[in-house]
Amino acid sequence: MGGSAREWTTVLDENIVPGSRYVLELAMTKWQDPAVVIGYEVFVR
Amino acid sequence: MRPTPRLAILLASGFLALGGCILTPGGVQLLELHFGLSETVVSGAESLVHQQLLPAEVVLKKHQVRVSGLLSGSASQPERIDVLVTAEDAGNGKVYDRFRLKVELRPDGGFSATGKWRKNIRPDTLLKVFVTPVGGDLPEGAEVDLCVHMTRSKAALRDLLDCAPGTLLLPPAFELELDSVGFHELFSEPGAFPKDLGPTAGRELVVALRDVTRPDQQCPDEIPWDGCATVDWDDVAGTRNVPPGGGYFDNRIRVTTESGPLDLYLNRELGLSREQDDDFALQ
Repeated sequence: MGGSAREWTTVLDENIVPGSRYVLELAMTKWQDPAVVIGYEVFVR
Repeated sequence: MRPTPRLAILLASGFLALGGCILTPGGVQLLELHFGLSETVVSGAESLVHQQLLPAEVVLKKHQVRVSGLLSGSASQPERIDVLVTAEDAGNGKVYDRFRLKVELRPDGGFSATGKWRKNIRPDTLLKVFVTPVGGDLPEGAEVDLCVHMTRSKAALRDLLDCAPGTLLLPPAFELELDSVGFHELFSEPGAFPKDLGPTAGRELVVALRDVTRPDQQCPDEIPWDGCATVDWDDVAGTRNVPPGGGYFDNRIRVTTESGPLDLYLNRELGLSREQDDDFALQ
């Protein structure tokens, strides 16, 4: 992925419990130097 | 929350504001390093709750260490916990630096304490974090969510939020083979929704990822060999970190709704979906 954000979305059909915890699980690869910093955001809009 | 070897390496967002990393002959000296993870304390005695092999390119220069987290699943929690942090030579197991923190537990089970490495932490070091309850016992299955921040800036440490996710460090792979760090790197990032979230039915849940190191990088194909970081979908059995038997990575977010836990998978065609992305034809 490049500079622009890659988004995955869905329209929720039920309520998330406010203050509840989530766990985001990802498998990712970066080939050769440099190491990169991946920013992630989880939010409801 | 399951005990898992899936450990996360994250960089706190303050690291970016400080200008990133310093290139050294021995590798990349990180100004800040953040591990976020979830593990399970399985006994009332000293328990190893985290171990992490620092990638070969990571050098730490007498960093401050902030250990914070949340103890849950215990009806009668101890008064405090002792947190032991050690740095071992990954080759021979020799401990060459360690410190112990005595940590008071807040009523909600939260804790936070700060220590400091006395020595430089070399590449290929195995970091270990042990937790020991004091003044009470932990029943089997009690859980500890733990974050370890390391920083050279005391100011950054003061401003750091406990267990604040947001960024992760993806190390480079030099061989797309079985055991190369950075190849099919697994991340398990804990977080929490705001307490004033409000009703979400009918609203859009968003998971967004971006390469914040290289905002100008163009990645039309998102394949590893064009220099881009990629989300991995599947690989042949036996390849590094590929789930046994299946070949498909979860790539999901687990949330809690009013009706219980809900897994939503990152899907190349369906966005966030209740269906796991297992379409090999999209490769």
